[in-house]
Amino acid sequence: MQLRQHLDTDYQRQLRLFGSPGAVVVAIVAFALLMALPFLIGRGTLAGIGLAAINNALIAIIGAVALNLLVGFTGLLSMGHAAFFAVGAMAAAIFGTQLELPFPLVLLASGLCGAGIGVIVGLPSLRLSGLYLLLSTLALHFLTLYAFLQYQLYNFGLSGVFYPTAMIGPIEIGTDHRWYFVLVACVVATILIARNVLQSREGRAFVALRDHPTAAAALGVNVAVLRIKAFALSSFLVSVAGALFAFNLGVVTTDAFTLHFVVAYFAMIIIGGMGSLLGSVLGAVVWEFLPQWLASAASNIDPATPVIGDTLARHQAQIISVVMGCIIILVLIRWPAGLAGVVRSTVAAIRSWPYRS
Amino acid sequence: MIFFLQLLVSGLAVGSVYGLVALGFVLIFKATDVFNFAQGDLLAVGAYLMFVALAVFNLPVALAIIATVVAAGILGAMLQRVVFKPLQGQPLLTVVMATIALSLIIQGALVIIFGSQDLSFPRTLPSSIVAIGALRLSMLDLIIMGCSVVCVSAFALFFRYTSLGLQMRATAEHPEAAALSGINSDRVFTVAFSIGTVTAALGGIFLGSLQVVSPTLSQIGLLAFPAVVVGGLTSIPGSVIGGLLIGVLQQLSAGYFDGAVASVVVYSGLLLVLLLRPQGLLGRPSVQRH
Amino acid sequence: MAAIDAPATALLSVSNIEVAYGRSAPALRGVSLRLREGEVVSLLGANGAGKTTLIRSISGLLKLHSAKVLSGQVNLDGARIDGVAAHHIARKGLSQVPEGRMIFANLTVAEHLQIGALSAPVEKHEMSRRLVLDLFPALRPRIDDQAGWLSGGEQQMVAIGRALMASPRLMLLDEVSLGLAPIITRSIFEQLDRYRRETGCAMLVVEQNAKLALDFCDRAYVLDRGRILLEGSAADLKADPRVQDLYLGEAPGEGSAYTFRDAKRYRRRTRWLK
Repeated sequence: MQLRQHLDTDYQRQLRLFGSPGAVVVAIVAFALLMALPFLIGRGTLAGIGLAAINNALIAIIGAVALNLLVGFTGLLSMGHAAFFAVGAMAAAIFGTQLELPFPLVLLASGLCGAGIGVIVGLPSLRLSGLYLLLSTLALHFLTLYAFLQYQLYNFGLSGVFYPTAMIGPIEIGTDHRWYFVLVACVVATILIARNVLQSREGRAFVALRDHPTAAAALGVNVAVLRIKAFALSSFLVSVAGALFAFNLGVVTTDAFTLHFVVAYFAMIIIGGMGSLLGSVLGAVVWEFLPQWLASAASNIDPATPVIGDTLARHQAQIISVVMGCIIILVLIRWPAGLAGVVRSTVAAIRSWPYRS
Repeated sequence: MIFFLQLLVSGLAVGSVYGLVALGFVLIFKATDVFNFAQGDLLAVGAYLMFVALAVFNLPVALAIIATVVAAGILGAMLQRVVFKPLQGQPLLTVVMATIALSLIIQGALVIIFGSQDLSFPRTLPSSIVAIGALRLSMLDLIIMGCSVVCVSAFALFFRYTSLGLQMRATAEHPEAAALSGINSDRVFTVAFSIGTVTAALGGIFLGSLQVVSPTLSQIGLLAFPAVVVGGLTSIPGSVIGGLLIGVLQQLSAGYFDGAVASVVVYSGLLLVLLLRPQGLLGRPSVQRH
Repeated sequence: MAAIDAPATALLSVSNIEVAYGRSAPALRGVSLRLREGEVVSLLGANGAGKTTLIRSISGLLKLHSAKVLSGQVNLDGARIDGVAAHHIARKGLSQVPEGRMIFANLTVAEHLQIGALSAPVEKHEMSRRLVLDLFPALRPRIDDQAGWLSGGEQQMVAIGRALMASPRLMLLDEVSLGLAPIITRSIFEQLDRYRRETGCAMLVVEQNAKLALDFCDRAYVLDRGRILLEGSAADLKADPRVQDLYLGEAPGEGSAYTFRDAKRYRRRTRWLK
């Protein structure tokens, strides 16, 4: 029996998108399913998940991949995630609502804005690391939100920042259905970009930076430049996600970008698995879908039941918070490598089944 | 001028509360290397515990304070056993995330149990007005400031001069070497968490007396972080001085401008300190020979 | 080169232990060791032989490094200590000077000594302190300095002083010579010898510097790839041609029966020591 080769023997092999004919088949089937999904769901729900929730999850995937690139792969602890989403939303408002540029251009412009600000943020951060970086980005969070609030009040008013319907050429992206396809395309692009960067020289340098900055520097890695690059790349992706988020939602206020938002994305990459692209996807999906599943399970319980029913009805959001908090701690203690880690060890166990002692 | 002085005094009072929370935070950080994001939520827990003692058990104020403090100590010890002990040795982000998750849980649980409306203590600490010239000072403010001074001095002395304090410092620096020297790191951590929770709870009792008891107390507790950074992550007196500074800064900004600006001022201050002097005003830059 | 049978009153006895890190292959296999009161025993071996693992099994630090004693026992004074927490073992009279010194960079020298004294009765503190400063006078002017700013040699003295403050019955010394100039190392070992003569403390010395170790100890064990390869008195091992060749770096002299081919054969044989 031939042990299927799943170890790459040279760089060319590792770069290949599809490791084996089997992978191509899987990819084709997955693609077909993805394309068919919106037609299968239509206006209804699949296990309590509607198309709108799926779209939110897709945006979350982009955000999670970007955060993982910064935190999981490069080891830069940043709490500025919500702030950069806000930057993306603000740029989208400036370019999309005020300047009325075409949608694809808005996305690109938002991304570049974000990247620029990422560089500016990255520069002073060169002097800080670990805990101090975390705290400074926390400060940044509050300052950016204040700026967004001022922008909103100055240009739009109390009800929030408005976004027109996205248009790609003559096609109006007005329904969840159409948003789905746009978002899937964006997600695929994001993952491909991330994968390529991670397999390039820069990408490996990111990981070296995370694991041992001194050794990396000794090997010729320009630590300062690399950190800036990491911030720029991550912020680019996050800002694009922010623009997508804003256009999808239609109206945005600072209430959307709370600390809870930052925490949610950290939870995604921890539950999914830090330093893993698969982890980012899994984490984002779980984080977005689990509350829906819990909610639909909860709605099966009659509100009339004494303590539980009443509590569930009145404080659903809080119960979800508590449950998610417990899940995070559980994952941290029991499966520090996250869901991706569990998947990897399961696959490895299956593959090595006849050979284990 | 009077306006300024009033703001200053209320700033010092609020700042004392931040200082207490920051103190507990620094204590936990120094002893266990855990960056406790949930410290502000522990303040809220303290306030609610006091409410329960006063409104549900109808205890007199002094007894209620003691009961709350004891309960907080036990809670801190339990948290250490259940959440932080299994996570020992994990990287920084893991531990920070655990405290963030804890924060989520506490905030959710408080709303579920008590609802989100404002509550107030049926009986509070003496809050008569003391007049000094044209100044009207609240006795409550003075009590809070006095208590904080006492607490800080006690803890600073504890850390520097007692055996347990020395054990805490050693364990924080090098748990393995501490274990080899016969230090029971588990006990040290439990004590550290207990004390940290107790100081946060005291802050909650005071803040709840100054204002109302509501879930937003957690947000206010968040301001302890700038306090800690400004004072120095590893300095006990620094944490309180940082708290006072932040409190005064916040009250002055809120008084002369508005609440949102106050936030911006505080966090800009935090950024400045981080960029210019990361170890804070009183912290020691960490000793690294290699 | 017969194994020395220690009487049942051994201070430390390691019986046939197998230790593994996580789920990897065992780092120690069937290792046995005995130490009597007041004896000085050396552990020799190349990198990766398992010396530090053995030390960790004795001092109770295995759990911290995700390792476990899979079989066998470790006994101190007749009482079982494998699996017992490190701080309990320390309080039973076992002190360790760990590899790399492991000092508390932000604490002063005086505070180090204070910490070391935690496991000892209060009456002995002052006497121990005087003894330590007597042995290492270089520490006297630096007594209130933070340990992180001391030189490597001074840090080693602090680490040893910290261990001595507990008035231990058994001291584990892990790579004391690491990173130190030979003259300082020699001076430190001289002071350790003096301490041992004054107090009768037993010592287990792990050393890469085999010559230094064999000059210092009564008996020695040679560890190779997780097993005990050789054991015997210091004199016997010093004369052993294999030890001379592999660890002492001395070429076999004229007329020695140990040729190059013998060395090659030995190496080939020990390669299958699994």
